[in-house]
Amino acid sequence: MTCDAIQNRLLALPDPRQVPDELRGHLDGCLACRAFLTRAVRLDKLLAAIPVPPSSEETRAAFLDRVTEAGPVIKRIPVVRRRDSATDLLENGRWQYAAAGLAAAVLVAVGWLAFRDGGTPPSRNDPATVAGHDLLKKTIGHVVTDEKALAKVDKPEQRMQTWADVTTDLRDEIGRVYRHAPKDDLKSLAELFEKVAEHGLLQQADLAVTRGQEPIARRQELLQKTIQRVSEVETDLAAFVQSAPEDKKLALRQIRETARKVREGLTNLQPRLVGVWPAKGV
Amino acid sequence: MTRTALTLTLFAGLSLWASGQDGAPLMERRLKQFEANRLLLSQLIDHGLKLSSAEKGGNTLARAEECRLAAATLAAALKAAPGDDPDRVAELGDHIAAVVRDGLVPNLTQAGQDIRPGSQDYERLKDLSRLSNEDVIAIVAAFPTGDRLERSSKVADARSRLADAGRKIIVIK
Repeated sequence: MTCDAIQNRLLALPDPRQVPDELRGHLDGCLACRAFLTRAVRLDKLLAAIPVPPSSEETRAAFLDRVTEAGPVIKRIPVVRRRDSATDLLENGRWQYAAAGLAAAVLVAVGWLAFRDGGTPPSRNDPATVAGHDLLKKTIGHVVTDEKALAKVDKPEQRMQTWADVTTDLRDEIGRVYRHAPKDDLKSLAELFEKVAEHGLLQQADLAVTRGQEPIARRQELLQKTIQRVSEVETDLAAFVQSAPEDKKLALRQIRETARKVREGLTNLQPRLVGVWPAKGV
Repeated sequence: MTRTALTLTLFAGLSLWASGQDGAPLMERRLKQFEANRLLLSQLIDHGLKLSSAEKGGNTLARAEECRLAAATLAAALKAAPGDDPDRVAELGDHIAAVVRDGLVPNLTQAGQDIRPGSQDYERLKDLSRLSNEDVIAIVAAFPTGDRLERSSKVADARSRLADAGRKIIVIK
């Protein structure tokens, strides 16, 4: 699924704090969607904090008394008053509607500020929030700065997962731009994708299989998950090819072909992982 | 009250929907950013591949060396940044600071604990710590200048964060 699809599903949640596991997997690896979720939760809290005029027990009791008393319920024909005057708003408690309307306007402004491209304004104290190229920031995160960055983790199994994250980030970027990007950009994305998926992910998976440090069962599980992720990327790319303008299809087909080769390569590693079991004497 | 709640929900929904649209200016900016960073992305991926190699993967000294090179790659991009674009300068400055702070310094520090004084690697470590420190001082000193950049608090902050990160490098003598 693309980030757009994930974010649409996050918006559809009744409570954005209760994220289902199927979305959680993507959120764990996607800074942009995590930031989106944070903003959605914030907006939800703002909505809940809007003051609601207290319901009046007395008014309700009087109304019920009037309805249930003997005699005809309708005793006089109500006069419909003009409701467009400011005076009317202030009378009969209608100021509450005006206040609520104002709150709605404020909320719309807050929502717009929170969700317009990039979200909250950059904080001077938080380098992570400086506006900039999202893909560049994510790539630096995966290579050096994140907790599971390649510059920090020791095991090939961990590096395999990080490369899978880079692969899905690229898929997300391709999904965002493929309809509008010039051919040269798509060609560059195809080259990057090949480098990341073949030389990064597949080679690291090979190291994880042959020189991994986790128990075999854990390595099998991780490899299976990685195959699943690449398979999803391949499916998404096939969808991009289908919906792309004719002149973009060639580069997208090349990317999809890379994804297919990597998925096959990963699948071919599975028997080797089983094969090393007796050799390790476990 | 129901009407108010419905109005609020409608406005909030409309606001979310409108902001969710990948409008033309946003797409244009995204594509420009990709074009500006195309080479840099490729170079950073190359650093990632080297960090993942069997030789460097579990070696803190080799990882620190690669982080220094990654910082140098970003520094070259910073040097080439347009003089009238404080956002770009601040963005790259902050990325270099992050690479130094979260990649170079921890690996150097760990290598300092892992490597025995007097060994061949220890000499490499000494050189690396000295060179890394000199690099950061040089990048801070050569931060791009220009009217717009000097007026920008973002640029000043990024430069100061980079200097802070550089001060965390322990130079082994």
